[in-house]
Amino acid sequence: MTHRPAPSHRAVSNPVVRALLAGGAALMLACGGPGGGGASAAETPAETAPEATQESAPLMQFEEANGFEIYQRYCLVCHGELGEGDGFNAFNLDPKPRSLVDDYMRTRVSDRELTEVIRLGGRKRGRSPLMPPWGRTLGDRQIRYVVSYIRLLQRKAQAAAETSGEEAAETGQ
Amino acid sequence: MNDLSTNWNATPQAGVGRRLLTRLTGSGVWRSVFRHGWIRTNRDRALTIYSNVFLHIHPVKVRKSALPFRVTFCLGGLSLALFIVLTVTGILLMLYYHPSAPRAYEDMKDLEFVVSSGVFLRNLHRWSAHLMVITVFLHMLRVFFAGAYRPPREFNWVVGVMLLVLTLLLSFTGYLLPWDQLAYWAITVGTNMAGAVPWVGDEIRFLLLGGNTIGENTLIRFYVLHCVVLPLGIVVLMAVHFWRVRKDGGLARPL
Amino acid sequence: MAPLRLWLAFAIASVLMFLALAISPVRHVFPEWKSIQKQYNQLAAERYKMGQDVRPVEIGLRQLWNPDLGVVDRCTTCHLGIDNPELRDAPEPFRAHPTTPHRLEEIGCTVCHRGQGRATTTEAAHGATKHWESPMLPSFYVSGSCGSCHRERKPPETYTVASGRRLIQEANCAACHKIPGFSLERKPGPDLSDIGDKVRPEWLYRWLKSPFDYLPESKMPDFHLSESEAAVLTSYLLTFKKKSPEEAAAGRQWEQALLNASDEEIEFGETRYRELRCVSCHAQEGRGGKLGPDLGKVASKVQPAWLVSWLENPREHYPDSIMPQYGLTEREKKSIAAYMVSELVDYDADPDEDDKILELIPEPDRAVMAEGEELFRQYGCAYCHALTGHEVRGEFGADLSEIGVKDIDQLDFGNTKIERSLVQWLYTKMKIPRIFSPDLRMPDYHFSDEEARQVTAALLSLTGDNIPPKYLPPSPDPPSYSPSGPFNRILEKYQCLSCHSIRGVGGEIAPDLTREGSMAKPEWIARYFELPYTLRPIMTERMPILGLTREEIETAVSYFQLVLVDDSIPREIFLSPPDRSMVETGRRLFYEKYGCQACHQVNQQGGYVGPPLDGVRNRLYSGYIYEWLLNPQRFIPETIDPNQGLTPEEARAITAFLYGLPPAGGSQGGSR
Repeated sequence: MTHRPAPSHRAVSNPVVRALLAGGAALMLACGGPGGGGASAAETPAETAPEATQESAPLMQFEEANGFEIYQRYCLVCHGELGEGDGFNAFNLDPKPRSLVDDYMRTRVSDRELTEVIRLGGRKRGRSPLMPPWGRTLGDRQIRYVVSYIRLLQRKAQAAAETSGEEAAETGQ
Repeated sequence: MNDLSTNWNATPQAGVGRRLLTRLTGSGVWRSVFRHGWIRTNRDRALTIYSNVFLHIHPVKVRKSALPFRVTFCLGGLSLALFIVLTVTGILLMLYYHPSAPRAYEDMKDLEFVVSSGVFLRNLHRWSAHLMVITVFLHMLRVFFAGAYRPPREFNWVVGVMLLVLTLLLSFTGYLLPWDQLAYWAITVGTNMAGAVPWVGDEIRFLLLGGNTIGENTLIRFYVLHCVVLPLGIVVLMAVHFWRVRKDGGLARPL
Repeated sequence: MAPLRLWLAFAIASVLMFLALAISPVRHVFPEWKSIQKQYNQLAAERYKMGQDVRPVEIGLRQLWNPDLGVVDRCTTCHLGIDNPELRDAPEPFRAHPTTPHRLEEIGCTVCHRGQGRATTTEAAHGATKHWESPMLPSFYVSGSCGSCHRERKPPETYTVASGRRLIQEANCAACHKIPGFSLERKPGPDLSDIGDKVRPEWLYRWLKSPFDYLPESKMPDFHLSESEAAVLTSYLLTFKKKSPEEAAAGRQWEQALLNASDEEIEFGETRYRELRCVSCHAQEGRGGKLGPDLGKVASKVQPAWLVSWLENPREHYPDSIMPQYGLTEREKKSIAAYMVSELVDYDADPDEDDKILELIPEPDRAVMAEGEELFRQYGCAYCHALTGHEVRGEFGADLSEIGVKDIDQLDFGNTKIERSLVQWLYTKMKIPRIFSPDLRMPDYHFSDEEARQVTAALLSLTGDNIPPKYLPPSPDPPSYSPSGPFNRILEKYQCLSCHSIRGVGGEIAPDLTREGSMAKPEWIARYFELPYTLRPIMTERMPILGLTREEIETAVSYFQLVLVDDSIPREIFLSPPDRSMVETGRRLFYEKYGCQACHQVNQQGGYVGPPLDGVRNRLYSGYIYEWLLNPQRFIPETIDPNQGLTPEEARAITAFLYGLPPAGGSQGGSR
């Protein structure tokens, strides 16, 4: 068994501790590594201990977590899990549901505008009546949560686009 | 009384200031406060010392052989100075402190965070207290090694030991007042030690705690002891102590 | 007179002393928070110029005060923008607080965030200082505090805590730990008193060794048993049998018969298995319902004879089983069992390995029995599984009633190098339960990172009784519904309330039946019992074909019509058929104004979210449709049908339109 921390763990942030751990790991390797292949948890080396507030994956904070729950229930069927307008019910709709994560939505549509569309529905905002008004079903707070979650989806989509762009650039070279 | 100086002061050739001073020191109000006139004669000087309570504390004469630092290390004086600092800061702290279980700890936190110079006050009080225990103890050692407990100073040694005990008790009672975990457990240990006294231990413990466990009663008891009873006792004994230093022949030296 | 040098030294020492003593008072005159408030005022001036409503503040300490909760929070001295939505994007410490259901000035900050509210310096306030036992929670875990007051299983607007509590429930933590709000009515694992009749030895060994390999969604945690421990425990458990040797011999004959079943028999069994919709409760390879165990590899697990007798009557084996008792014929039972035995096999298992495992398992001699008994006791198996002679009392694990406010001095961090905080400790424990000491017994639940965080948040909400009662939300009346008579016998036999609920009692996967009588027409209900088609095509959990007898159907339908009714809902609102113009208005409202076709199918056109509406007049009373249209949440608070705010005339018109819809061309609605 190796002592390389799992790649998803950014386990130790303190540089001093990290240096110590690296030293310890090197020492262990020099001594031939820990004997035996027992995978019981008690033998799990301390340095692979997971972090409760890991930074690598963005954590859903209060508004976003609540927004996630509401989005799953009310929005996902048409707008899709990642907000790309590809929910399973989308193919029935004409016009198609809007992608919530494109550049236009991310940069040009304000929180206020998003809130209003969700609250009053598409028809009252001069868009498709297939987007129902949620203002009588969801409270202002719930709509705020959903807006926060949509913003999180947009950040995720942007990050994904950037990494795939980078990968494309790398393979291009 | 003081005829000579009065006459001297009242001579016509004296200046306005001098004459005003003479008028002032000759007035009934002055005389009711000070029992002597303006210091012109040896008698006035002696009277100044005899009749002034503050100056009276210090001996009229100190032998030159007792003056060097290494003779006393100023330990007694330092203890007194620290006691004065403790009294002043203690009174200021009392202005912010409620001796009640829900408020005590919070008042301490307020002293730390929002009272102007509250941290400064608290730290002065705390460090002075620690220092005072140390200086009093060192003072006792100095007296012991200088052999200054021997007759005729044996009674003052006894008074000194009582002062040491009072100092320790002040320190102990003050420990509870922040009402934090350290305080709680320190007093638990301390009172349990009192409980180990043969025969009357449990009663003493009950008396100290005002109950069987530490609580609001204990806090009030310790507060009163710390702020009223023990300081009064220590002041009285200190007066006796200083008085005896003078009466027993001044600072330590071979008689 | 002392020499000048001495005087000079004295003077310098005095000045130094004065300066040293002055440091502390001077620092009080220029505290950190004053400069932060000045920064805020600069920001406010900039924002004000940009047209935002951000006003400067007067320099001075600010605090929130709530004596009931012991709150004196001076956080707002620096966090000046928390109640100003214009500052949602401002840098900390001026950022606006996220939207919450509470008024911040009422309950203060530390009630949820922890930390030292009285403090006025950044370091002390955030509380990671010596001698302050409750440092601020990392922002993700703050929602854990919602649960300190909101103690119900699924509090509103607290996704993180609710998810954590769901996981605590699903993982049956309360079997071993005392957790307020969680108590198990029955042991979560199956009764083991006939385990020797039920399962195959090699399966039992594999299962004990690593349950998640057999079933990734396993509810039994991984105890990280060693090979010999698993072998001994297998041998020990297999001795628990109920069948007599004669019955066992008969069982082996059965087994042969099942294994030799013809292809037609197996095909017939498969058809019946699908038609009965077993998959509504039993997933196959992770796809399907979650109410019963996954059956994807069941042939590698149970002995065929046991399977047949189980299908016969589940409650003969386990009296409190929630599986319905199907009215199956002898042939159906055998074919279904034959299908399961021959098709639902674990194809990943290596037959050579089976032999090796069988060699590993020792004979159950006296020493092995004693050792197995000891292992069973050591790992607290009896807290989840019933087994004769293994009654338990009290809790096996630690009392968790106040784990959320545990002092870190009381936590054992072992030799780990993790951050010394309660949150980190709990999270690490969830991820690697035995990391802190090799003596620990807690099994591994294979929580993902996110799940471990949610459970940690839920555990942080267990703070004992530190909240004054007047701040606790009123707990709802416990639901009460206790039917009796013939209808109750139907409920018992078919375990209806595992999926459906009536007046708050029952499961959540199928529709609530409290108002069924006011909603659905009796003829439709009767037909539905005979052949339940799926109203919502997207659902995987479909009503199984239970095979009710005619008398049972009659009993149920009349019970619906008499008892499960809501008098405030009229049955029919049209005394005569509605006129054509009204229907036309309704049609336009349906399609053009409200876009209902987004979710509902009419004549094979439209969305898949709500039920198809063809021929709805055969199913629902018009009064119910009308009332539903006016306010869907009135009947099902969590329905996703949006309240469109229809006027009564509009609702009437749409009802008229829907009532005119003919049934879809002979087929059963939109079932696929």
